[in-house]
Amino acid sequence: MTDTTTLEEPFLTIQRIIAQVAKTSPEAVVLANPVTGLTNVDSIVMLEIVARVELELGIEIDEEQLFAISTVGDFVDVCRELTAARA
Amino acid sequence: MARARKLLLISPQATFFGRNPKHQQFKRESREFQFFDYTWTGFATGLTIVGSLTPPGWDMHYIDENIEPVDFDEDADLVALTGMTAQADRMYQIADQFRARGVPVVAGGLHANLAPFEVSRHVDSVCVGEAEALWPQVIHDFTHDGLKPMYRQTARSDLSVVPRPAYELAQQRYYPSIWVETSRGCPHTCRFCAATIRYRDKLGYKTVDQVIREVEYVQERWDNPYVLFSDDNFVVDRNRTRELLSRLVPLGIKWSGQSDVSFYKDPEILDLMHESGCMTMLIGFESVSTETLDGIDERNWKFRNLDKYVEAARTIQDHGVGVYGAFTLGLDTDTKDSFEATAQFVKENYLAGIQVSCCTPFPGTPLRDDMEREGRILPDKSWSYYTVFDAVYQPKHMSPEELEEGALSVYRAFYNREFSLRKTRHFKSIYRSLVKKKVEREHALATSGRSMV
Repeated sequence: MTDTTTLEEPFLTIQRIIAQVAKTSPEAVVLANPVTGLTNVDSIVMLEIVARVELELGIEIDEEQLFAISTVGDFVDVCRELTAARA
Repeated sequence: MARARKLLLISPQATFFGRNPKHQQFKRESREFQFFDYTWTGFATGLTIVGSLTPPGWDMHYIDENIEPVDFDEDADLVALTGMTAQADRMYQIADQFRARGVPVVAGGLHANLAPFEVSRHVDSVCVGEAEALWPQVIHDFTHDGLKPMYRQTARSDLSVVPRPAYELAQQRYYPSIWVETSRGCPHTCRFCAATIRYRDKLGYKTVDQVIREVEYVQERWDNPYVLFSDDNFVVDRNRTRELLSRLVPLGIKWSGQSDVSFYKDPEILDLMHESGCMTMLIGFESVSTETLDGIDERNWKFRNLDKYVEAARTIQDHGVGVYGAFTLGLDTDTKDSFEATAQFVKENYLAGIQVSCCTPFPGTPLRDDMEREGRILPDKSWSYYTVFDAVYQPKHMSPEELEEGALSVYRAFYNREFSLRKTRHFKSIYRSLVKKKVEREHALATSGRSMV
């Protein structure tokens, strides 16, 4: 069964940005990926990813929220909540 | 057809982050410190160099004892061992077992260079110097039944003509970062530094073409490798560094390196570092005390540069390159207050990471000569305690236990949730401004029909 949430925003934006910054393929980025286990992503790379996502989505993720993120799916959830709150 | 000879290349087990159980507990339990192994665990580069110098007709098996156990029954015609001082005790145990079977053992690497006569009592042959200058002769003598007890280098190797290390030997094993060497040596002669005093006292460089070919070779064998340039001092020749960084940009790697602070004054190098994927630079600050830095290196360079540390750290990090500060505590002018002063410096300057080690009197260093003369070396601390995180001598103004505990207190002050949140906020603001500039540039290029590399 296809997980339809993976085909929607903000997942697509996050997937594209992770792939672009980490220089990996978008297909390798899935919701279940732990953010610390992503290829080429350490804490500093993650900050570049977060900064790009924030700029594109027009949101700001605070540090407490950032620390609670374990997977790409968590990252997507936080961004979804913040974009909904902004709207 | 003659049977292929078998060479075992062995890196003995080592203890990362010291033997003190409190250090190990911190390493296990601190969420913020988890990347320590990721950043600094690499393969034994010396063995891959030996592999590249071994002629066809030899089967080679590279064994990293941190990853897999040594099979002492494995067929072998010759064993090559390498190791830092902390690996020496284990190196001798491994040598004993193979020699008991009649398999000759050759040792090289840092500890063999620092204490060749001691090492020679445990192995058949010791190599003192760079592998490129010695290993071909070792192999020649072995195949002609004439292995000598000691080989000493008489002229420095020309790194611009050395073969590429046999990275493929380590390919099948998991390493978080792949070590690539672009140069050897360091212009600073620090009193406690073992590497530059005995191993290579003059700088030597590979050509930029060589380095690029090596990085490409590594990229062909590892998926998205994180490259750790293992040079003692990556940014000595600025022109060469600029050329190398420019050539690294299109390769799209992520990397870290080691240097002193001097490059912070060069905005072009800083921009190129960020563009080429530099994540962190490990910088040997050593101390934040004027008194301690006075006389730490022969030219007193670090003492003269202490007043620039704050500006240097800020400038480098503002360019998107994290500063990983290295400090050596327990020198004779250090007191119990030195730990708090170090913790304050690393936190006030929001360093990306820290390495806080106990000053260690390695064999062959002027520091050890002084301490032996003063009877301050702790006799119950075998080489396996020379991890740089264990205190192996009697410090002047504290006990060895206080030194270890004090060094750990700096880690605790730095790697914790509260400070990590503050540090993340700091770095996020840097990255937001860098990303803004980058996105504006990308848009400008896109509208002009060009693209960024």
